[in-house]
Amino acid sequence: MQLSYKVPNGKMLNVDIEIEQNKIKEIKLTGDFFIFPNEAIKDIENFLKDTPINQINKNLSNFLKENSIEIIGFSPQDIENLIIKNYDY
Amino acid sequence: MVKALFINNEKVFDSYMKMAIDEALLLKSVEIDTPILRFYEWNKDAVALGYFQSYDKEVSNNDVIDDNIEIFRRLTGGGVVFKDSKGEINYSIVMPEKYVTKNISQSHEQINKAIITGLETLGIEPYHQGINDILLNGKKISGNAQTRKSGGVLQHGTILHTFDTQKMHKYLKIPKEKLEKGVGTINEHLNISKEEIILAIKSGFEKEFNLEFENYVLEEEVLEKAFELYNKYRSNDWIYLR
Repeated sequence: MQLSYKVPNGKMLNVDIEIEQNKIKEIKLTGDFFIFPNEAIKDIENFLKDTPINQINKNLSNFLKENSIEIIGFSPQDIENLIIKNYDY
Repeated sequence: MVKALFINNEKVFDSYMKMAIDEALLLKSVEIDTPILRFYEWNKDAVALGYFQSYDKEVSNNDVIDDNIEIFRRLTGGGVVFKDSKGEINYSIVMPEKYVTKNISQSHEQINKAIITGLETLGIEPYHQGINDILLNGKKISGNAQTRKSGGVLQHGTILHTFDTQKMHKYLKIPKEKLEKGVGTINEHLNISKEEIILAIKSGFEKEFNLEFENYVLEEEVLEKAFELYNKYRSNDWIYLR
């Protein structure tokens, strides 16, 4: 599934995702946002594997805080909202 | 006053080497604890992808290949940019992180303020908007992108002297949400040369960061590092990273 969302006062967030049993199987995040440090994008995508789609915000927010990763242009809530809005449970 | 180095208007290298030099200068800046401001120009049109962008989603590949447009991926995030070789002024500023705020959004504004302060000396009133844009009379005249690495900060961007919008639409897949933000140029408002704009922006950095520039020519050690990094920027693994 390929989803896109322009975050109000933020950036373009593209989510390419495979979902199995309501959990993320594979996810790729692209767009014109910023992540500090750069390399953390891979860590975020790996972390999100096996995350239930209704726990993306909670789990990812903690992960970012624990690892001092900063995202500018979208939030974990934006990812969760975009997926849930477009996915038939 | 803080001693800083100034490199004016390099036009020689290809896109990949230009990015490699930015990264090599970032490392140098941290090593010698000195900010470095660089201006450069492309000698042919190109397309710059942000680090986190998907090649396939952003680039009209057939046109780009047919017209022999150079595509490269930046070290910095942010959006895809059509590099209008005739119309743009490009800058990069590198400095140890201690010279900017720890807060990244604020540091975007802080560096953009230097550009804005400089442009104001020309009699125009640009302003910061959003995360990393500079607008003039409601249109975007400057996009900027920042990254932090190895204890330093690199911000680079463009200021539009003139711009070919038709080419931008030909080579980029621009979502409609992005089209709302119109593109503007300084030339629409002022009959002024690129060189005058460069000197004005330089003065903005002098004022906002209390810098005293001396002219700098890329030394062999920096070029050697850049040639090493060139292989990364030129590789398909990097260009098609995402």
